[in-house]
Amino acid sequence: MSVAGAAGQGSGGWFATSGLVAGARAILPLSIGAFPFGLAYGVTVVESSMNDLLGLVASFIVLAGAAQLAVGDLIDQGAPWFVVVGTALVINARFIMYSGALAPSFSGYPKRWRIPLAHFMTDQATVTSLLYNERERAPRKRLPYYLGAGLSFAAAWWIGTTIGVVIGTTIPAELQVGFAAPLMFIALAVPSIRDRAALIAAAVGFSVTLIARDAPMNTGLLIGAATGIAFGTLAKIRTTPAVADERGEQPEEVPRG
Amino acid sequence: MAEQMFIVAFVAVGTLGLRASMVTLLADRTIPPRVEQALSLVAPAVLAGLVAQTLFLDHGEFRPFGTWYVAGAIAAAVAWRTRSFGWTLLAGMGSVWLLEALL
Repeated sequence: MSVAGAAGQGSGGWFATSGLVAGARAILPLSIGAFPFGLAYGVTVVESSMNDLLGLVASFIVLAGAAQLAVGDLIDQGAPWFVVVGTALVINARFIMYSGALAPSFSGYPKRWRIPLAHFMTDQATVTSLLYNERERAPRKRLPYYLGAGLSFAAAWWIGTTIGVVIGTTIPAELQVGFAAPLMFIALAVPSIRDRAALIAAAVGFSVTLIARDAPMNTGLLIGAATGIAFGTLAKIRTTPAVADERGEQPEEVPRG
Repeated sequence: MAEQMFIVAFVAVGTLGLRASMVTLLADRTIPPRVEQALSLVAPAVLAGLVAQTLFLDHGEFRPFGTWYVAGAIAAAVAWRTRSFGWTLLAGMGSVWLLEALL
């Protein structure tokens, strides 16, 4: 599809620039939260055996905080590469769900834009955009809004990470920056528990990760997560025999900044 | 270093693949409801596992009971009450600093 073909939405071109600002403004409270998260990630990179520059590059090319922290943690523990990669991709499997939720809006965007745009599909940008898409149908407005939200949120993450890596070693031990990693997972995990199935998934994932702590090749988290998802799914199947009414569900409640 | 570069590159490509999956290749199909249900449980299961791994374990061994456990519990309670990322971070870091100073 050509750019001109994607436009065709009346006057004003195919890309409403004002949408960029609107998207960035809507996501701002969450971007403010991403900054200290990025800062703490940067500091943990410096403190781990992960290469500092590589940890910084990961913020740009992976752009997924939970997976990045897990990669740093597993590298630090000396896990084999396939366990590190496997764990990170299991953590990021939720993006398939986001991708499905955003697919209807992406079908209105030029084809060559779709993959670069998908890179900015964070938890926060996805939910912000889905809310906007409910009231705005024109692709020429949806696209810049998504881009504005995704790009500005990523920028907050990049700035935080960069500062964290740069000042990492100068931060005194009393500040307990290492505690920021579990703290951020708590701040993300708790709001993700919205129903009984999610509670079961979380409780099982938590317990089995602890039980499987001596599993070979640091696969404890993988085993815990897989078991948690399985038990949560079983609970959902038992409580909701008809699944059709679940279809319109919004993914992931976003913590307020 | 070479292995770390490989890991980050692999995770980056794989993550982009996951993000682009439905908006490109599968644009005209929908995710089967059962699969969607399982995917919606990835976040709570994985994140709770990550809490277990980073808060309770230290290089595969149980972390000795201390300020981190208490501050973690306080942060979880604040997260449950407020559902706010900012308040949870503040409460968690605030209590770990306070406990470290007091104990």
